[in-house]
Amino acid sequence: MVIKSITLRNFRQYKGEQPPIVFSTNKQKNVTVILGTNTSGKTTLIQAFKWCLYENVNFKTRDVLNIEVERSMELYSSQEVFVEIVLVHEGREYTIRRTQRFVKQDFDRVKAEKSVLKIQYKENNGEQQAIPSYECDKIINKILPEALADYFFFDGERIAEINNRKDVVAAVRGLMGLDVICEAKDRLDPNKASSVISKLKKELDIGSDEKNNELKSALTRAQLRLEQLKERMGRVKYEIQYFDNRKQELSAKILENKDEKNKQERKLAIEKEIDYIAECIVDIENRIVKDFSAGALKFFAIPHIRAAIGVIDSAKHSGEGIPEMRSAAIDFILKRNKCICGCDLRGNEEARKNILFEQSLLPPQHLGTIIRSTKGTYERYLKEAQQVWDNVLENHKQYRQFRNYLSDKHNELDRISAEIKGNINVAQIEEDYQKNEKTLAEKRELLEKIAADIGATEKEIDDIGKNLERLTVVSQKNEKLKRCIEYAYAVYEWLREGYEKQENEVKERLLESVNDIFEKMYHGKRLVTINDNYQIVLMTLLDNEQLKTDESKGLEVVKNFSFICGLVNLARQKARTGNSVTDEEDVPVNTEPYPLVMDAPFSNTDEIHINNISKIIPDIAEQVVLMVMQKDWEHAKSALESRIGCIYVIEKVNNSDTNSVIRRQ
Amino acid sequence: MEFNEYKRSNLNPDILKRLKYRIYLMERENHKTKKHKDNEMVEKIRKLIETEVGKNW
Repeated sequence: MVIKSITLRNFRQYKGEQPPIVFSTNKQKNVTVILGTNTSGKTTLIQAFKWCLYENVNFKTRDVLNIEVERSMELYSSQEVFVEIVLVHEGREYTIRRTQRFVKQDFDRVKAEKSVLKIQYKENNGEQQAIPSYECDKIINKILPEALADYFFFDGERIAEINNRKDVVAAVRGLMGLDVICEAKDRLDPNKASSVISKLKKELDIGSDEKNNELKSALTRAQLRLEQLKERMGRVKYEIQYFDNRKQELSAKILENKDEKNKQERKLAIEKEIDYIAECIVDIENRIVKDFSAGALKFFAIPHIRAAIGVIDSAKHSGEGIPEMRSAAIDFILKRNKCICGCDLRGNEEARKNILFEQSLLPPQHLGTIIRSTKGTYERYLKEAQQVWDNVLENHKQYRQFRNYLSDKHNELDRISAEIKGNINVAQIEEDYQKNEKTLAEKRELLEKIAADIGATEKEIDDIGKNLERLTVVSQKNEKLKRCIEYAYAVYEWLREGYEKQENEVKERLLESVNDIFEKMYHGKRLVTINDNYQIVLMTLLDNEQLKTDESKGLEVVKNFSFICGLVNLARQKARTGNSVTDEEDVPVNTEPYPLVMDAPFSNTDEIHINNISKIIPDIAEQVVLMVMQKDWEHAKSALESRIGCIYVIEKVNNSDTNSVIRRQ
Repeated sequence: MEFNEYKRSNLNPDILKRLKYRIYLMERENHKTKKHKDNEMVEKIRKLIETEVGKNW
């Protein structure tokens, strides 16, 4: 940016429309000097630049209308203030005018309307083109960002603050064209939540890849399972076929050997009967043995018993005594004189006689009773022996019968066995048939189960396939996003490395430039260092040791002046060299020459420093505008003489503080 | 610096070069005009990368 002119109307001390101040744009004589006394309006000129560009002023009151004009206003009349700057930026001439209208609404109040900014630029054919009002602020920002303005339109009395400002880092970046790289780098920075890389990462459906892999594995497993099931199904079908065939074969065999079957069944029945009969025979034998054992003695005594009974029967034994009666019992009855019938025997001789008779029939007087009893016993024995005999006979009869049955059955069994000897075992076939039927049923059941499993697995494969199809779309999107992230990372790394490289270079060159300028300005032995925040620290060399020392106001001005000049000088060098400092692959930087508009730059500095500063300033910037007091100018004049393009003088009209005019010398 | 799991060497140098310069120029233009806010610029760069990558996908 190079300033061509500034025109003021009713702006603070400048009453009415002033003739334009045309600044020197000559490259050799690039210094414009504006001389003025205290309160004449030098600082107002700096403020006029800032007001025009940013509507920003540092006055205690924000009113910009000239006080004399304001006081002269009639009721309801209006006046306007404007500042118009003509400048060239990137080869294009812009006319920037900010106008503010003031209306006197009552006797002691003037209302300020909203200021209006208008920008025009000159086409190549010379025609003026207006920029839409909504674009004006953007254009101003493009020409000179407000944050940088203080470094180019600065007040020497406030110069001490310049290097301690918080935005100094941003300002240096801006001047050196690094702010663009810095912003680009920050916008891609993966560590920032809202950066390009972070946003791309957020778009990634990370879960889908895992899901995709899981599904692919599941699909492989299901396909393998299906293959196994189908193979098993084939085997089972083959087995069913086999068992079905076997069933047919066995059925046919059974049918073919139906008679044989009957015979075999008969044989089995006979065998069972034989077993039963044999058991019965054993039972009868046991009974015979048991009966004989119990009654053998009596049985063999039968002839003797019969003989004994014969003897008793042939013997005379009239004794017919009362059975089981004893002679002693009769004695007792007689002794007590009372019969068992209750008859009193005393004096009853007849009864006593009968009783005595009965006693005579009893042993020992008579044996007839004993013999009779013995015969009875023998007869009972005989009867029992007969019973044993009868039983033995009966059992023997049965035994003979069973033996005959057994013999018959054995004969029949032998006959049937002879008939079926060498023939097939139909029962075994029957058993095989039943086993075959059972296996066949099991296999058919298994086949049904396998068929159901195959159906389920096929459905599972189908479902997985559909899910995979859906996920493939997501997966492809992910792949693309990952690729985008890779490129974003690559661009980010390029910007970061480029930025770091250039920032280091800028720091080194700035330090070099500031030291160079400081050395030329300062007539002592001090050294300048720059910290990470681009703040300047002055060091004193003492016995080859660098010590931080206190600074006087004058030294502080020189230091900060060196910083500003170093910064502008560096920017200027960048602008001249363009992108030549960068390699092809390096980040291109963007810089534009800027003017230095300084108000009271020599405040607090001695004559030697004024002279030194004056020698340097014209070489620092493309364009220099100095607003100085006459007394300081005397010291600077000789050093600047050959570089002065034009000189203006601000004069107070009638020595008034509210009315100044500017005239070219 | 964080671990970059996305760093690859087989990026297309032409695409990368195009992206570098277009992103830088986009930033430079916006730095001058301040036309787009931060989030808008992020979105523009993201779309630019997606478009460039998409062309060769």
